[in-house]
Amino acid sequence: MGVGDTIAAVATPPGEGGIGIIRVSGPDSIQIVERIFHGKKPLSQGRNREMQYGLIKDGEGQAIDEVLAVVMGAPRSYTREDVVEIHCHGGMAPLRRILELVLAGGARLAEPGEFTKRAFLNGRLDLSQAEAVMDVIRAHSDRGLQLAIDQLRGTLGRRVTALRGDLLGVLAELEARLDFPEEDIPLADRERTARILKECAARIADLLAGFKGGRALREGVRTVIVGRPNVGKSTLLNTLLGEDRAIVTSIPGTTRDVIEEVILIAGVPVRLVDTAGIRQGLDEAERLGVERSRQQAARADLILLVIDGSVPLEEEDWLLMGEAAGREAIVLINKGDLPQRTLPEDVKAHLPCAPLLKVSLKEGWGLDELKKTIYDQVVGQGLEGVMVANLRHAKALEEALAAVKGAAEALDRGLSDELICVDVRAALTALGKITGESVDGDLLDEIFSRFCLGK
Amino acid sequence: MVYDVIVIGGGHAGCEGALAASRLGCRTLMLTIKYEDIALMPCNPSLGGPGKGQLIRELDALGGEMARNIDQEYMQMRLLNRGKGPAVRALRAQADLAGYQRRMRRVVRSQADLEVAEGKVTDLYGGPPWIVETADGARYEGRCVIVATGTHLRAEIHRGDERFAPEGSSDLTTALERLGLRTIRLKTGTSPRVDGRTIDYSKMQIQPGEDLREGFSFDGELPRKRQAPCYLTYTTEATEALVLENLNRASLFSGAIVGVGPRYCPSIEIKMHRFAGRRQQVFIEPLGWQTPTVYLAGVSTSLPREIQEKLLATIPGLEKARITAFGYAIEYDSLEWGQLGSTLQIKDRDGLFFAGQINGTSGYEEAAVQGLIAGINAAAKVKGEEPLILGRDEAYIGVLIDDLVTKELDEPYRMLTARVEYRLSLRQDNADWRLMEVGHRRGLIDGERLARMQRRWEMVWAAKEHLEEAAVSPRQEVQEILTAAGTSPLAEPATLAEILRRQDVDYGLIVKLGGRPLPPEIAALVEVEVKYAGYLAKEKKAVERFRRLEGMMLPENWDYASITGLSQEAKEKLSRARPRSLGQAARIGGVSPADMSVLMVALHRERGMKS
Repeated sequence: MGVGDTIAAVATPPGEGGIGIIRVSGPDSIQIVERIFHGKKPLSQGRNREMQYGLIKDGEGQAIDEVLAVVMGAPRSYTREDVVEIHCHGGMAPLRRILELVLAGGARLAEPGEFTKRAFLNGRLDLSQAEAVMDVIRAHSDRGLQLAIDQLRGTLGRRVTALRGDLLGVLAELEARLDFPEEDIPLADRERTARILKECAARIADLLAGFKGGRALREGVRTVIVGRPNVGKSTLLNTLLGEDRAIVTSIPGTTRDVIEEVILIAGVPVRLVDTAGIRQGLDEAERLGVERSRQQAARADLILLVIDGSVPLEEEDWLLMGEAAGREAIVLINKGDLPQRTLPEDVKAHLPCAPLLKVSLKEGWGLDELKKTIYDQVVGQGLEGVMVANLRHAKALEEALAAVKGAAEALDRGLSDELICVDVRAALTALGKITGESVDGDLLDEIFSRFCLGK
Repeated sequence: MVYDVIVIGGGHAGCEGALAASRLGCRTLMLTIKYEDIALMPCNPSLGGPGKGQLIRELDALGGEMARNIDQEYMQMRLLNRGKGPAVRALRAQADLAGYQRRMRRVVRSQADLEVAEGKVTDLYGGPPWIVETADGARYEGRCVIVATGTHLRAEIHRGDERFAPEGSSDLTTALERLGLRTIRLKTGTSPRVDGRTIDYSKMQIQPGEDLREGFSFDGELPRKRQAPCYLTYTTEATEALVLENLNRASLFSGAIVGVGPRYCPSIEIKMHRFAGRRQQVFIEPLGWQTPTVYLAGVSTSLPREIQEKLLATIPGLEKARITAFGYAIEYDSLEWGQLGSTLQIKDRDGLFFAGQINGTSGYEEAAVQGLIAGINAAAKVKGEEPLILGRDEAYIGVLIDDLVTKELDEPYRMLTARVEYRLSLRQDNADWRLMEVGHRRGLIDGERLARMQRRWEMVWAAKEHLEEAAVSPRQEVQEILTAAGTSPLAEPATLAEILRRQDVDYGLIVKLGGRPLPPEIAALVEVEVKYAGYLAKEKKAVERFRRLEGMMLPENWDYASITGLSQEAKEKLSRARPRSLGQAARIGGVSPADMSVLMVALHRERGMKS
């Protein structure tokens, strides 16, 4: 059962401390990594299974990261294929960038569970482990699927769907004329088709530009701190910022009354949004503060709800708990150094799913626990999956772009319709990898809904 | 006496099935309700066109009869899509219906090992041997049976309020149900026929035939014949008003019909309803030299008789047309998805084959190729040989049958070039190169035909090689020839193949530059192979990827429900479809890439356990 091509993926859990590993497996793995690895000697000349120190550089010679690379020649590797591992400094940005370079060099992004699958198919694992392998594949892909569905609800999904619609229209017009030459279909307006294709190419390029910047990851997981005035929101923000030296960037809020900062928690970028920086007339501030907190909370990926444990729950606390219900949220009962008037059970009754922590920001305890909880929540949301999904999408978009350009060029050269169809179809197939739709059924639907065909 | 193969039905599928089986040495019986109706075309009297033309060429390369029959009995022949690339060009013929049937009857009657009997089959059981009983009490026994009953099962004609079983409607479905088979209801329709002498052709556009050298068959030149024209006219606003006003009287809209009709062959009421404000084409197609009757293509209808008459009166040239047979919609039983295998044998029913419209397809050509494959595979079964299964990468026939096996139909299935992934490689002009060797190995193509094909293609490949190697430099005389032909001069030396790849260069110009003179049909093939080269190479790569999964065969009776990790939907669909290969599994709706990974692992485990 020859498996054939070369695959790559990040092998370490996301954000896990110091070192991140990218694993490449398949016949071209050594060659692909050798092209971007700059050590004392070429990668393939080093000894098998020995760490080599070097730099990973991109096509322009720009260094990405200092790394250790190790070659494990077939069959003495996990997958029994040639495997190269690149150990780099962790953090999402360099990992992602290096993975992109490996993919650009000809590897394909591994499917969920694919290394394990290969290990199994190549006889590395015992037959009795087959069931476990299948479970792994299923689990990975279910999560991947959920992520993909979530993403498709967003802007990307809308834009890809629109693109797909336009290209399907182009294909339907061309195909209808090929299959129904005697029908009364107005002649193909090649200029119009060319215009649509060029416009689609520009739109795909636009989407790609967004991906290239790694926007989603650089911006981090949007985390909003909410709570009544004086429960310790600002202290929480300052403590988190102060303790973590690795402030990546400070993004000025779009409005002056919101502060946003990105911090790294165990390598995972988290964007903290705080509404506490507002200083206005007191009565007004209380009302507006809660209102703003609620607005921000509505847009958050993760909510940090701070409650003052030294006083009983107040009406605003209830309002904010209502906001957090059913969302990704962590509740902090602050002022643990004072006598407690709010019991964890009171909160638990209303927010049964949210993790609950007792902290004292003033005395500084409970913070490590908090960071661990944030990390778990974020990674539990599948940041790894988001990254993979993003890269997969970017790959698909690149394919689609090349195909649409090919079609436009074929049209310019005056090639006949069935040849243009080849590229338009390829573009639709590529976009289908994002939306999970195939071309065939939709194409026939499009043809028959556009044209009155048949005699 | 036990027959090797019994074919139920004498339509296009039945004829090809019976001929193939008997030509392969099987004692074959063909049962037809009426001898006169063998090879009948109950709808348009035409064959070919995009998709269908490719099917007929492939059928010919495999040793079927339809191509030779139409080449002898055509009234008109045209090459469609002439302005487009060679992959989508397609022959279309109007048949002299009586002549077509007469010749096919003669071929069938004179075929050794083939008996023909009249009889309406009422029961089918046993298996194997299969017992076939007819209404007049006859009982036949056969090792294999090919059910090619077309639209006859529980057929019901609808026209306005009229609703009746046509002559030949059969209740064989009951017998099939007793065998545990399931059916669905499909619908199709046909247009009125009129007396051509009552038509005013001066108000219409004439569509003459073309003088072509090549017909459907690779057997030599197309016989030159006198050709009859078709005519084209259009519906008017009055037509639309009349149809829309009487929409509720059409059986299709009154709720009388439950079957699903084909989108590519809509009735006039659907056209007017869905695409209002547009005139529609009406083609007048002759039915034969000996009959004045013509077919009105484009006005398939289930409207009542009197409305059909009024309708024609609104169309220029048909104002006084006398209808000789009214249009109607017909509902019939067809096989439900999930029971047919890639050999066209029903899964788990040894020797029981289904071919043609009963499988949910529409069209004479689609039926004929299925008949041929069923005939070949029934013979293979009798002789204990490997069945013939063509891949999607090998033939339109392969695409058609694979679609029937993997896709749940929601309308009668018509071959379209849009359904074919490797359309540039699967052309009508190279069907012989693709399939004739297969036909020869099976025993339906003799050595002489095969040798002729090989000579033809040796010339093509040799010429192509020469073009790739022969280079010309930008000498003055070369530049002059190029400029005179309206294409740009050379900037540097180029091979003749590179020059031929230009859009505005044909083989004639290449000869002027030193290319070898070739017969026109060979030159045309060389041109295609050279001009398409880049795209063909791309397709070849895609085909290689495709074959990887196609080659991974799945156990025939695999218990999908017990495979951990498969989604529920995949389990259900796979249990029903029981695909042959991993590739085929991937084409079944509801089977995701993750399911494919799971299948791959499970398959490996299965093999490991066996070894």
